[in-house]
Amino acid sequence: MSESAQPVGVTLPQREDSHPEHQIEREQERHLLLDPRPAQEMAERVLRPLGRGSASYWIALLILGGAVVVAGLTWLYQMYWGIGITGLNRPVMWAVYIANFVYFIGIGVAGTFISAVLRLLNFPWRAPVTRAAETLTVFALAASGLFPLIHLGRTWKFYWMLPYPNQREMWPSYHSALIWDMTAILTYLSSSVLFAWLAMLPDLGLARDRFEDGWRHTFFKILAVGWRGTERQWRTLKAAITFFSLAIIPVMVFMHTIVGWDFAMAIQPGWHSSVFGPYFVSGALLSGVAAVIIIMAIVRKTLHLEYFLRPEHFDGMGKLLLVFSVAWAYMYFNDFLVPWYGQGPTEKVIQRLFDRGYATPLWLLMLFSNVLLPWATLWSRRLRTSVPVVAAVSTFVQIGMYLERYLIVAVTLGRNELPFDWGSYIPRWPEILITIGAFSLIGLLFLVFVKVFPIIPLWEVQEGQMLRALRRIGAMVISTRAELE
Amino acid sequence: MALPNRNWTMVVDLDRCTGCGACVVACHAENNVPIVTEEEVLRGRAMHWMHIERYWDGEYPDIRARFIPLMCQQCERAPCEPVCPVYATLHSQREHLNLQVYNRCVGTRYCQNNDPYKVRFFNFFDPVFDEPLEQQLNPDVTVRSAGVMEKCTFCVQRIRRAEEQALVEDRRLEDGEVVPACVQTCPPGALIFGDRNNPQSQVSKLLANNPRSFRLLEHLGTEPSVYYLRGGESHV
Amino acid sequence: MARDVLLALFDDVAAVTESVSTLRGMGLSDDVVTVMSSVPYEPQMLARPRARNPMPRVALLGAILGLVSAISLLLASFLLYPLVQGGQPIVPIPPSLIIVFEITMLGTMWTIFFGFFAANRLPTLGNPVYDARITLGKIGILVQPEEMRLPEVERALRGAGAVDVRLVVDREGTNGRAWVRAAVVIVGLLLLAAGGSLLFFYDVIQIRFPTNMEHQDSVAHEQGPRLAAPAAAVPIDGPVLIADRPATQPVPADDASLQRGQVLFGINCALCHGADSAGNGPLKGFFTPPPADLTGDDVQSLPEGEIFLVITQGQGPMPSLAENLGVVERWDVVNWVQSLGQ
Repeated sequence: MSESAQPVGVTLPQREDSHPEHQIEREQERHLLLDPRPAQEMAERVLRPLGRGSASYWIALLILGGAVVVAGLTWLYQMYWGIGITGLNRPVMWAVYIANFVYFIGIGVAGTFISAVLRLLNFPWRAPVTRAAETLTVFALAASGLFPLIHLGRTWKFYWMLPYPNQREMWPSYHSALIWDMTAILTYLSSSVLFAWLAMLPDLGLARDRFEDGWRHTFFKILAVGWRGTERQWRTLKAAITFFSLAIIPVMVFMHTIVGWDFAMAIQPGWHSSVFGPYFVSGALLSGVAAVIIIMAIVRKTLHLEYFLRPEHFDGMGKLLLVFSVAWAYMYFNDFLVPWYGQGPTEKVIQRLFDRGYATPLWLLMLFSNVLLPWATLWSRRLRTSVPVVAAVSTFVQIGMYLERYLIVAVTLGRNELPFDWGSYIPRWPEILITIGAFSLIGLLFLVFVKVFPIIPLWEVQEGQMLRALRRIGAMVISTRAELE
Repeated sequence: MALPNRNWTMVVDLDRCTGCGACVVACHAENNVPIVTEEEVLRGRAMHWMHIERYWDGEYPDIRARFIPLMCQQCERAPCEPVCPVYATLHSQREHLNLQVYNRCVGTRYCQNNDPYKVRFFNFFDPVFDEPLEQQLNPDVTVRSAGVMEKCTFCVQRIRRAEEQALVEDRRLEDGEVVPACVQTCPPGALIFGDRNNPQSQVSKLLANNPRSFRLLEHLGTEPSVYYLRGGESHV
Repeated sequence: MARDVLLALFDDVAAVTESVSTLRGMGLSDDVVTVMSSVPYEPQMLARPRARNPMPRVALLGAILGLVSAISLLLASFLLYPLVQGGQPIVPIPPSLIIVFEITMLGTMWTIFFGFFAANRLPTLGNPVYDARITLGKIGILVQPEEMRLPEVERALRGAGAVDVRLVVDREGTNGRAWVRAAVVIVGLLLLAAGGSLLFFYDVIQIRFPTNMEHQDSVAHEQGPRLAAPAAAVPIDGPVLIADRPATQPVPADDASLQRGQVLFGINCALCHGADSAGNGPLKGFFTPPPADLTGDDVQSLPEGEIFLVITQGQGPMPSLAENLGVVERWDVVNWVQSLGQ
């Protein structure tokens, strides 16, 4: 149904010209899938960013690269001198590094959601967004996977957590939630990479064909592994993608559940909550969708992809953001209500830190960013179709979700059953530099990616356009979508 | 030849404890526990495997200090154990001790997060023993490097030595032969150590039907091996 | 086996469908016709038969592989390492379920991926028949009729509205055998890498990394030079080196003492320090550092108390002679050693 249709029986002032020709034009302007262009032109639009970079691109690359290098040097410095250069202490043994780990994995989840869930549910507006989302998953997972290594006391022995046969006959312990983490990350990261590659194959073929010579042609020829678009290839690709999606969705849900269980397995008050699994999943979906929105907004603006990424996409993502904000609020209220009612002494002390202690500004900002702001803005279609508004709300959601992780990890650990051992935590320069470096790493990887690969999945857009049509019923023109088994 | 089963137990008689802190120093001396600098202590990284927890009670001028010596409780169901990803902390079924394997620890610090008594200590830096303190180091105990977790072991090196001695001499281990450093040093004799499997041991006799005995944070189900005997006014 | 094939390009689906029907009407089997496109068309849109999809079985195979691997891994882990942690059972079921789930899904997804490659014989080596204009929206039909029917088929394709019809030499055929060879090589290389890494895991190739706390300060100091006890230190049993009050020689260095000392030296010390006391006894090669030259300044400048302590407590590789020599006998040897410098 066209989104501009009026409900039957309600008379509202006609603000738009309802002439069929003008209706068609409007629909085509609003909806990418109703606005097919010649294949040549679309291919050109998608591949245009792959040329030379502008001056601002190289400056951005240098800045982000510099931040990553500084973070790397900081990490080496930390490995040499010891974890003592950070702000960690007893009892706050986990802080910014683990908060970063959880936060970046959370962002990664949305890529799979958009790519797999929306694909299976046949959401039409997901078509141009899937690749940016999938690559965000891979890059966010890569960045987050560094943090379990960064926070280790003896980082160079990290491989002891892997099950490999060795002369000392040592083995990791599957009792530990950290090993479940490692298994889940291995599964999720490798599968996301394979999934992204699989879904990119037809576009890699396109790039191989458009760049007739030079290193780009060889590069894409290797990566496209001989994709020709034969019936068999399409049939098996679509089936593979469908099954992959089916399989990766539970992995995605479980991934963040297991990260939540890192905390829930501990008997630390404030962590030992059975809702932590689903709570973390809802938080991940919220922060992940917000991250994809931000990436989309940046990509659209800087690469001039307004043809592909239209307000309708931000409208759809905005709705998702609102839904996940509600889901997160539900989960958070769950997690808040139970200890509040139970009035356990340590839980009360922790909550007091949040609502009238040193963490109060952070807690309030979190609630504002995750709940108040989305609920106040995203119900309105006018605001949802405004890219700057949705991007701004998403940025606040990122801040709010980061604060949520920080509050759970660093602030809660400062209080426990024995008050003599209470403490608090302030991040020091290594944590700050490395966190900035991690964000820069994701930005850097994206910068490189958009120059090397097509960021819009053209074949999915074209497939969507093939199945969509405009149909006239009486005086109204509506878009219809073909249903295929 | 198999060594017999033990149930090593520490009893802390709070009525006798004066809070002098000699046990803290003895533990440092015996177990090569480093002294961290004043700056590090202010950051909250003091390292005392055995420490005296002190709470202030009341308002001036009626302030009381309430204190309790706290060391690793060697829990039977230690929450710190299952969270270690590399088996660096395990339970010895034979001796009912919580073991810490220093050279297996990769430093995830999950065990300390899950420890309700917060008696685990992390080496944030490489330990520094200013001259001539390195002369005083105990060769029976590893000096840990940065990035490794450590905690009270009930002076397992002394337990081992005594048991091996008894094995070599083909005799039973007597009660009172194994004396951890803190127990050895405590001036008023507030710390008593022994094997609860031996009904004749001092700890068994002390704990049998003793209305004064309690364990810390018992409601968590950790089943500690350290029993406290309720003291007088000055204690927790 | 190279053969000639026809590649025709069309602009729209209708023309393709018409061609496909025409070709079928000419008696060509569906197997010799392949349609290539840049968007996925349903087979019914192209009037093509619906073929079987191997993916469900591949996915199931992957799931089974994953499940079996997971259960084997967990059983092996828990039964080979029956270590108690926190009172949990040796084989904990809930954590096992988590790992089983993860590895089953891992197996499923990887098998789907590699199954997709295998089903399509990807990566394609060499140059298969293809036209780059297909990704620009043209739809291609590839026909492999018998040699003699080539002109007839070409006419039919042009008649159906082909934009371009070309005769191409297809060198690869089904590409099956080349692909299998390539796959075997790749798998072989991976196994080689895995085997190679075992060399590192089992310390056949050692990478020495001194962070295992092997070097211990707590024992190292006992191998170093002995320091004098501080002036205000509490004296302990036995001879000590007190800074301003060295142990003094209770046995005078008369002839009898020197003679006894010489004899005892010959019995206890000469094997290492040499009959001439210059540090070249028959056993000197076995010690690092080698036995000291007792005639040299290093030893002769030592106070007599220090020499006595060295004999009593040993130093470095030199053992304690306290069980071999009584106290007076040791002082006799001290006298003898000190007389060597004169």
